[in-house]
Amino acid sequence: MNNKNKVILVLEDERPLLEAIKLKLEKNNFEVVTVRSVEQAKQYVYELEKVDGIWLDHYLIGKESGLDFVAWCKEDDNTKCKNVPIFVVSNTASSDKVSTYMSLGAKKYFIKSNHRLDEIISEIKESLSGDSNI
Amino acid sequence: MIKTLKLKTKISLSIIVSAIFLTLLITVSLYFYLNKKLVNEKIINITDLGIEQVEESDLIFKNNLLFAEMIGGRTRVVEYLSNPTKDKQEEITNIFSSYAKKDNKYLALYLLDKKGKALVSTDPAFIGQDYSFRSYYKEGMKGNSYIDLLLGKTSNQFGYYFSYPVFDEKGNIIGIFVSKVSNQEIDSNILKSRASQENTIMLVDKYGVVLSSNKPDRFLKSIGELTEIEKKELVDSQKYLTNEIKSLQYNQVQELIRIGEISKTMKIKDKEDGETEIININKIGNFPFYLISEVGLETISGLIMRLIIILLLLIFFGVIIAGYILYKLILYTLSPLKEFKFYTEKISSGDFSQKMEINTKDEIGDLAQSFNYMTSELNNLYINLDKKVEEQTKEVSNKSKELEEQKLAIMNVLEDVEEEKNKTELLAKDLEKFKLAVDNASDQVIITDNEGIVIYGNRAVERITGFKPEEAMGKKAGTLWKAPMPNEYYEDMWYQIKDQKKVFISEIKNKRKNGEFYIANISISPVIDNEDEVIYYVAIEHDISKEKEIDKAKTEFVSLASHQLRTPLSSINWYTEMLLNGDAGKINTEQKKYLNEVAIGNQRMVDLVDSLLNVSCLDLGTFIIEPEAVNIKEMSQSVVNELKPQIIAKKIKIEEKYDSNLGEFKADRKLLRMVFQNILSNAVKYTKNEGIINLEILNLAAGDKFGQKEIEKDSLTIKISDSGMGIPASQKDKIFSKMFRADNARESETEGTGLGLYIIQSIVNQSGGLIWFESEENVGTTFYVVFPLSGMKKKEGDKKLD
Repeated sequence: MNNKNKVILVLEDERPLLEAIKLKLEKNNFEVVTVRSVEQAKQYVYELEKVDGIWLDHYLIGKESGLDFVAWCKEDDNTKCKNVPIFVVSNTASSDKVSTYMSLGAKKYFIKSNHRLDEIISEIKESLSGDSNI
Repeated sequence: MIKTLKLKTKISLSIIVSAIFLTLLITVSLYFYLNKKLVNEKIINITDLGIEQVEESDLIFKNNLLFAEMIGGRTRVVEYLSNPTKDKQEEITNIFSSYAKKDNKYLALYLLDKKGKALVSTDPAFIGQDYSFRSYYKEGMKGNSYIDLLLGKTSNQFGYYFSYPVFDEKGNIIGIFVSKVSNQEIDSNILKSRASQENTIMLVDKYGVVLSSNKPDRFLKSIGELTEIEKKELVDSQKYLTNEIKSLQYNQVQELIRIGEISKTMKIKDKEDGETEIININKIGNFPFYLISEVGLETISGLIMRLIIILLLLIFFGVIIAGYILYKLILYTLSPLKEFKFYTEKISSGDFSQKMEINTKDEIGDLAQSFNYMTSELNNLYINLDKKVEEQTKEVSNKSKELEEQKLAIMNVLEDVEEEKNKTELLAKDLEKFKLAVDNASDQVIITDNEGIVIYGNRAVERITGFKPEEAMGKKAGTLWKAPMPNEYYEDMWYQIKDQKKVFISEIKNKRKNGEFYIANISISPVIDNEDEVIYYVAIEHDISKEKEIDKAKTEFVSLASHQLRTPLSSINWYTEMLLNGDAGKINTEQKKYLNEVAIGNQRMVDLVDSLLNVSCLDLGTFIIEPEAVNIKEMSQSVVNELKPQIIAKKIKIEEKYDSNLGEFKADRKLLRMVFQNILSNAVKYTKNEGIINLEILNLAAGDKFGQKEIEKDSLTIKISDSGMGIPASQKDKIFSKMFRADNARESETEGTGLGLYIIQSIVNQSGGLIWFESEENVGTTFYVVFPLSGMKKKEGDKKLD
């Protein structure tokens, strides 16, 4: 029940998927903020009181992709976002992308179609609770 | 050919030829001469004969007429006709009969009265008959004696009729005396004369009708065609009764008769047989009869031919005899020549001691004397010569030996040279082909000397770099189109090609004349001579900037496609999951069952998309192989564990055997796992319930047997055999093909993309390993995988397989 006050920012351009993610996260007692573009996400990061985790897709609406967001987020002076774990959930599975995300500082990479929502969410949960234990 | 003949033969031949020629000449001239002469002779002859016969005929006719005149003039006859009494008639009959008895040529002697009625006749049948229609009657009544040759109406017998009018004292015609004479007299005297042996003789009347002939078939035919008037006259006269008169077609002769020609000889062509004939016609005195003689020239030709044959035979024998004599004569004359031949041969063979003994005083004798003189002179000369020649021969023979040896040596050299030349020509031809190929190759080809100075550049140089090959000539290779590259690159390159003398293959960045950069695959090969020194470098550059661009575009596409294909699948996946979890409310068992089917189907779709993407990566060759230390045994066991649910469900017995020395193996974890996963899951899938699967992972040394093959170098080997349905023999060669599934596999398991084996074969092959199988239908299949112990080959790229 610790999750109640945990806030997840979800970046996903596909509306049905976004809906499902939101529903499932909320079922798991997360507070969910959904956005469909990097631009919007950046705004929310600043506006929100806190963000505990970020659910990120690669292709998003607008010019910028998930990679741009991770790069922006992990910038040294970005205190608000720098330490927030980013879970990349994407179908864009090319190995170069995966390795780019990981090297930029993403926490984990899930291939959307290969994982059940349950699996992803439980991993996120685990990961976040681990963090809180530190 | 004539030149090769012997003298005597030549002379004999020329004589024979001349003789034959002369004979022919004589024969021909003789033929023409004789022919002309004989024909003329014949003409004269026939004319003479004709005249002779006509005169004779004339005489006979005249005599007969004279007889008629004489009888007709007799007083008793005149008296009788003046007053014909029975007594007188008897008397007259007796007189006539006595004449007829005296000479049997008289067929009938009879007397006609003024009206043409026969009063007295030696032939009683005539008495009382009316002959007034006869010409002899009509002519007689005009006071003319008359002669006619006709068929008797009463007797139907052919005969001559001589008539004479009987006058009374006052000179009035009171009757006509007629004697009918057989034609025998004339026939025997004229027609059967000596002339008739060769000639055809015809007696014709004024109409041209043949009345008598030595050729019976001419009888009662006209010489030429008769006119209609003539025909009518003949019929009216009843001369020849009702006999039809046919024509002999001598129309020319007929015409002569018609115009009353007295005597003529002519050559005509017989229309019937086409032969030339000589015809002579003669009018018999003043009588309306003609005598015609006819002779064919064929008799003349026959005569001439006989003559010529005799002549030819005579000449033939003459020539033979003359030839024989001549031959002997020539032989005798020429015999000294044989002696000449004999002595000449002696001299040629070096014998000068012979003297010819011909003592004739003729030209041959002179020749022999000169010959003897020449022989003695030659002898002298020869004796001197012999000595000199002997000396020189020795010298020459020595030199000749030397020369022979030299010649042999030169011949050998020449042969070698020839052989070399041939080889060189062949090489040049070969080279020509190569040059053509290289000149027109699409890749840039540069040849440099051992210092790297360009000595050749093909056409592609200009197309790729923009610089003409001539511009590059003599310069250090690459100076014109060099793009900044790290120094190590060049150092490495020179080390490879100059020190190691190995082929250098790499990618290189260059700059075109227009400043544009491009990427090329470069391969530099050193050309090494017998002393292991580099003499040339051959550099081939393949511009791959286009390919790079295409590759990039393809990769982009695959990436996008994978995203786009997976997104809706994710949607289905997650919503199904939520429904099954009851997120949208409780669901019943049936609904759950259906949703599970949806989930399974969707998962298969996801797998298929993954496989397809892997295949596209493999086909592009863009996937990465990243070897790391892997515990093979653990990996294998984890894959087996994953498959445990199915293994247990099918009650399959699985036997695992691992080499005790299996350490860590350098492999791309993900890829190797795919290999295991694929082969093992196939094995499980296609093995029947309670079947057996064998898994063996061993380290084998070079030379060890593995399946039916021999291991080439120390290797890690994986062998997975099942007791499954096996692969049909006819489809074994296709089993690794993309999208291929064996018929029996498709029947038993509808699932399966036909991509798994294709993918793992690509992985194994591209990472330096080998994969193959042995299989028997309905017995089982064994897959063999071999990796060198050194591990999987590292491969750069931009994609990992999923």
